[in-house]
Amino acid sequence: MKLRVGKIVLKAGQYLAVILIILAFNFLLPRLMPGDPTDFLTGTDVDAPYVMDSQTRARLLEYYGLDKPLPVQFLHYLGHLARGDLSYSIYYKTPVSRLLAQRLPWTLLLAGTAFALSTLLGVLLGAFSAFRAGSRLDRTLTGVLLGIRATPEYLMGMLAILAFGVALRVLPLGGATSPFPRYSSSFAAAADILRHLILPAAVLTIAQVADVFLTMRNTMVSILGEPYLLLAEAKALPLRRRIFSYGMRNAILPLYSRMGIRVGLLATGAIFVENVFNYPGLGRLAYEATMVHDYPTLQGMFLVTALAIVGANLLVDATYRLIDPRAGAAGEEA
Amino acid sequence: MSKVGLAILLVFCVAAVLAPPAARHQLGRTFAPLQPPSVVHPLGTDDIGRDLLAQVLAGARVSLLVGLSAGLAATLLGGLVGLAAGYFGGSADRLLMRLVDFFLAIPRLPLLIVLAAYLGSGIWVIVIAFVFISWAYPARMVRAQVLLEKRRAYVTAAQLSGLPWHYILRRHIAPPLLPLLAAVVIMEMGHAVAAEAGLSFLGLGDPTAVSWGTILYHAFAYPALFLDGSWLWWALPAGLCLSLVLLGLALVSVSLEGNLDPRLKGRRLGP
Repeated sequence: MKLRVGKIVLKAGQYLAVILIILAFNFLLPRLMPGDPTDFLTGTDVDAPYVMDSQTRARLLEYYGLDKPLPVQFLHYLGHLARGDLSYSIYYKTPVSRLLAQRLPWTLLLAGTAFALSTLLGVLLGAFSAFRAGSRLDRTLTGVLLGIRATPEYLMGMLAILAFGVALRVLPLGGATSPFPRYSSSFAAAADILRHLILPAAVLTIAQVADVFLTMRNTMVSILGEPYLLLAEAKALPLRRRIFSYGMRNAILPLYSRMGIRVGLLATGAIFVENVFNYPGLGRLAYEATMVHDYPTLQGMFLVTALAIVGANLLVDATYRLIDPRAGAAGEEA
Repeated sequence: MSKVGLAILLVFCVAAVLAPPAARHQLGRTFAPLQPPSVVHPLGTDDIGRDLLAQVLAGARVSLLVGLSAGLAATLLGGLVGLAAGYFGGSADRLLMRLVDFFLAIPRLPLLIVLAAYLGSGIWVIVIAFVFISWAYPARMVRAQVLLEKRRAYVTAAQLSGLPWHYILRRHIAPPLLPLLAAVVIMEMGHAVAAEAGLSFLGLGDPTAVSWGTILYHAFAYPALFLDGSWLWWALPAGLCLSLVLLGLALVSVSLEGNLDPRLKGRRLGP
């Protein structure tokens, strides 16, 4: 029992270290970018709203603490972070936490839908394909999905816009809601949001299916050589039973431990999909913020993405025993 | 399947090497904007009148150059780290592996976006940024393999007969790693090509270089792209080239990967 507590503390320490490095990274990188945020408020840019003299500029830098030495700024950053304060977006003139809170639900909706659908689809197709390994269907499916994995999300997005938005004209081309929405009921609101979700979510789902499919298929293929599945086949158990009760239970494990990687892939995919469809999530925000060198917003966006991945890994570590009871027993003594 | 992939890549390599002289006279000049394909401009022109065939061919050069150099550099750096960590072990190994954990845990593209924004987004800057965030996976793979190779009897024999470590690494440990490295390098090349195109598509690419990503970026910035049919000769060729190169790399990498895992042989993704 003592051993277990020690192991948990060690694991927690490792995660804490990763989070701290991410924070330091996150803090330093935007600060090393050329120029500073006041450039985008002053007359150096054509679209700039203000002309600013050097005294005003110095006062602004002082006000935002950008004139302090970096270690002081970092401690400041950590202190504020601990209170849930992600600093203030100088460009948008809003607290970053509020900006992120406005955009995050859209990304969660989009990425969550894609995560659920691509997992379901990928697991089923992958398992099925593995049981038919070598057949024409298996080869076609694998080839098509390899092709899809090689296609960037924005190209798929372009094709989807062409097919459904331009040629068929059945679905909206972008945005998350109709412009200036006024809904008669919450049902109408949900319908409108759903209509706008279909294309981006479908593109993101299709882009993510390949990863699930290939993981599932390859694990399943290697499990198929196991004696207990041979026995199941010898007992003439129906295919469905062999796939779901015998194969799936073991084949799901590598996929489950890939959760952190998949969250990273989803975040990356969402950046492109949101930008193609002008979907107002974090990915779109990241692009907008990079364009105007908005440090705090970029910091916040990067932090949320990184924490999501760390969180997913933590979740996998904490629950892996539930999914695979053998792993915990063996892993603990080692 | 790997033959198809190699053929695709070969075609693009030939195009990238041979075409620029043929297309160079077109590259710096502007013509009438938004022309559909014609004999003079086989892929038409974009909204400021640049010849698109010349741009697509120049883009092949940028994409392949970035893919080749970034993929090789990331694999080389990661391979060296993995070799050293796996062979020597100890506290340096533990520290390096924690660093690998970190780089594998952070979101790559968001970090690349920030890096590209900060470093100024020249082509070589993108290559360096890519190598900086991508060495971890090759390092992990190589280290695992080195740990296996290290236990072989002939390695122990070589160690006991007092051969120097660099000789053992060069003669006994490194050669069996080559198939693994080949698969990893092709995979990393694919990631690098996709990363460059993605950054350029988001407007973070080298503004002075013409790549498939920048062509797509300009095309998507043109409001009537889907309305006046210009997507057909403006966005589609660049997108298709990008997909084909990525597919070619994926096909080659999958068949190399299949050779690595004997359990998957025969039942694998391809012949």
